[in-house]
Amino acid sequence: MIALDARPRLAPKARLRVDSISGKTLLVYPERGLALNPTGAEVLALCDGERRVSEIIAALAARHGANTGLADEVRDFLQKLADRNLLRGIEP
Amino acid sequence: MSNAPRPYTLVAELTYRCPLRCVYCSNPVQIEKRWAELDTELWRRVLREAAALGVVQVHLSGGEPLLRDDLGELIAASRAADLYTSLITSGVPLERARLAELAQRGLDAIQLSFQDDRASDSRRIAGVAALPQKLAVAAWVRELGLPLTVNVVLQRSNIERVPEIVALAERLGADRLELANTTYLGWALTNRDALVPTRAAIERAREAARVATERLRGRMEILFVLPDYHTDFPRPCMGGWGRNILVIAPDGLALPCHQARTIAGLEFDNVRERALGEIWSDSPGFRAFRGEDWMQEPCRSCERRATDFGGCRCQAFHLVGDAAATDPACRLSPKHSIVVAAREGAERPPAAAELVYRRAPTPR
Repeated sequence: MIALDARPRLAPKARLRVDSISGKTLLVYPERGLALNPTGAEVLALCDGERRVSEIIAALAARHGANTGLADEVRDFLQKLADRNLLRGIEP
Repeated sequence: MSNAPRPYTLVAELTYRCPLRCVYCSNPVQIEKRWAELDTELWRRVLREAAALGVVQVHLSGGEPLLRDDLGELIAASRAADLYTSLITSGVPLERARLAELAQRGLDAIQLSFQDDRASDSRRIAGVAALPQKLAVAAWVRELGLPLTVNVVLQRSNIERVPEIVALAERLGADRLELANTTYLGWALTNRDALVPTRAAIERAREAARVATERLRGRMEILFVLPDYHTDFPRPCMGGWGRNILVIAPDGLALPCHQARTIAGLEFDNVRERALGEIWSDSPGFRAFRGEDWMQEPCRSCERRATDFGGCRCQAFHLVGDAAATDPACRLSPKHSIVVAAREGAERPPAAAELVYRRAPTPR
């Protein structure tokens, strides 16, 4: 699981864009694309290489209210992106 | 991503010309000189229209797209249309300065093909000596900071080399490795008897790929595609006919896959004559195998029909003679014995394998 003090940012090969048809945020990278849910899009918008994972979770909690699953959901999502080599700034 | 037909990926086949003559090439075997290539302006229009249809990725492909002098302009046009732009290339012919220019024009990523990690076997499959050039290109790609996908088509002579191929991709700094077993269409069908590997070799390759995937997780993504001749069910070809992928052939024919033009009796439209949006929704060739109405038994009542879409229409046409038949790679197909015979042929010690090299149309 991704560390709470990691400062993730998107790898240079990946690009975020809004899909003109669905309005969803898409994460596009070589040969692939992921349609993000609203939370995923918010998380990635906060991944600027400065904020820690713990701060990203806190920012989302401040916006939407803390719920018990939030921290795990965010870390799970970021770990999945890390497994696909889509994040930088996460090395221990 | 979603179920409504909507193209996410445009495969722009800029030319059928290629300096390599790979025996597994999936380009049409009958390549005709009269198929004149689209010019720069038409490709610009296609890229804009594709983006308006919802396409987010463009693969500039071929043939060998580097043979197009206007490649830099087409990359710039792709980026201007906000498309994620990948070059699918053999790396031949290319110099560092030109690659730097393509990167500067906005190229997002490169997929570079290798035939083998060994020069002699590479040459035997490609018909020309290209490995040293490919190694040089890979180094330039990394120096220029572009993400590198290494693509290797697996067949009998390289399938035992997966550990060495993984090591090569690591040395080259690839962040994605595609180990794609040959699909037997085009030249690969012509050369099938020389290319199909044994089941034991496929299993060893799969295990080697699995071990490497675990070891390299987070550093290099590895895609291992099992060959459909050795699976019990067909592959979901193109993710379904005319669902998410749009191919434009060098002459402007708009297709659901790059082999679709070889199916007799289908009527496809050309981007020279119709707008892309109309073609995508209305072209008879696109509509022919969308959805499930065209399906015969056993597909029609099969619970897997929404998973694999009946498999590959081109394979059904070329092996069974009916493009609406169940893909014979499926064990439920009444013609499955065709595929079984081909894969069992690989289990007998191969006679001296004679290879037929791909022929390309003469340069313009």
